[in-house]
Amino acid sequence: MSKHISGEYDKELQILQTTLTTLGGVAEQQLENAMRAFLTNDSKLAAQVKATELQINRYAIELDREVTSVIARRQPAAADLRLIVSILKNGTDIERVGDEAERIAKMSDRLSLYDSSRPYHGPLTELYGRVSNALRTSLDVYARLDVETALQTIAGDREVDALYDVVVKKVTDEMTSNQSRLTSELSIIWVARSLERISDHAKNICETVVYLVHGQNIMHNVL
Amino acid sequence: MEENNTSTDGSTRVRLDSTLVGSTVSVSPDQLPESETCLNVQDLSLSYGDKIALQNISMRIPRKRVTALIGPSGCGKSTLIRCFNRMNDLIDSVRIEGRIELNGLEIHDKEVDVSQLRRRVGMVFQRPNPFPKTIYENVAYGLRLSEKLPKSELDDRVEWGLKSAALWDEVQDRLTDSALGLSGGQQQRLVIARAVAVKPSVLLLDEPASALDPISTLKIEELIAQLKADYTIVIVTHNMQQAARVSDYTGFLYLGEMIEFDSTVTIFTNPQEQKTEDYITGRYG
Repeated sequence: MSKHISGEYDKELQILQTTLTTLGGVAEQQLENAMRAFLTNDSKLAAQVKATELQINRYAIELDREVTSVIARRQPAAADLRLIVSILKNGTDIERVGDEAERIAKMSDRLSLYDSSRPYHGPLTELYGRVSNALRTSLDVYARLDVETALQTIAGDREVDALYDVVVKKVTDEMTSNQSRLTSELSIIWVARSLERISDHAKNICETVVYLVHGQNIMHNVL
Repeated sequence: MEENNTSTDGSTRVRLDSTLVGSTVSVSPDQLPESETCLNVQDLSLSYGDKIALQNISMRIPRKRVTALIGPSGCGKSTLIRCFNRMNDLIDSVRIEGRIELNGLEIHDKEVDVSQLRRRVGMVFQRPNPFPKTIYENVAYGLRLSEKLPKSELDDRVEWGLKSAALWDEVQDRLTDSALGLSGGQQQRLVIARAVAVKPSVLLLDEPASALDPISTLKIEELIAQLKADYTIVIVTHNMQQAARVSDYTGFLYLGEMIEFDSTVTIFTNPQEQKTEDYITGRYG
């Protein structure tokens, strides 16, 4: 897209996009660290995730402030308006990814030792792999305005939901057969739940790509 | 040229209600039924001598809605709006082709009385232009020309016109004072009262608030929102935020061409033409 007559306006929008990209990068790293902390019982790394969550919150507040300022002073329209709306929405989604990552890190505190020999381990790590990939892809397609890949990622959320159901089933089967590990196995469900929610946030980000490019709101399958 | 507010097909189609929908109308004017069209412009071209000012403009202006015309200086906005009450006829070198139907009647037909047309299509200009007469006489003047009314009825119509223009409360105790003593914003509302008093079908507003302060501007915008319940309003404005605030439909003109005409919501959130996008996002030029 061509530049605005006002170069300052271009700079302000660039700052918003840079802030969002930074926020996304931190949230992505948070998810990776939180899962590693959970799967390897690394309490130090879990503490680091919890501390970094404050950083994400600060970025999110800064992003809100900058967006509000641009809206108040520039009254954006058309593609600029859609960009601003998408930044605001994605900022919220990414901030919530950070919340879920922190939740996963907190779960590692509840778990005395993650047991990778349990039947849910395979589906859980596969779920993590898919969600991590969906989050990375969503941030990437937003930066590149790649509608086609965004739509593929949105469709992939159904597989994530199915995998989540598999994990829950495996864990509840375990609970039924052996109630001594109830607390630790509940934390597996909470982690799976957080991963499933992160996938939803990635899906939301992909939906804003469609809105940004075509002006169509495809949320909740409303076309 | 009477208003026809009834649906011609008698269907149970859901009709947009201006009081409910306001400026959030998102239906394209092309999708509206014929019966909801007030002004139907077809292949309208206009030139001043060799200079082409308007090229093949076609648009259907919806009844009892606010339609804004935006575009850079010299794009033909004011020329177009002046076509609707044949103000351009007053210019010697002008040449007009195409059709403009007001409620189904071609306004260029020989049998159309231009004075009558201008009573049906009132106009308000950028600078308030009250007559150097009393407030009362400013509103009564046009009424006397068009209708023979008894004094009591004339008084009622003046009051009604001033109330319609949201000015009555401010001037009811000084109707015999000179209109030139009113503020700029009050003068502009007086001019609107004068236009409304003769009960037109259409109100043409050519940058009606560009010479006013922000508070007076907001009062004019509020007035426009109220008037659209009874009148079809076409407004030319340089202020895009104003167009976004007050109008249901927006047309973007560029070099005499209608680049895009759609619901205001669509124009300001997701225009289909790159030129429109560039203009309203400040990338034009």
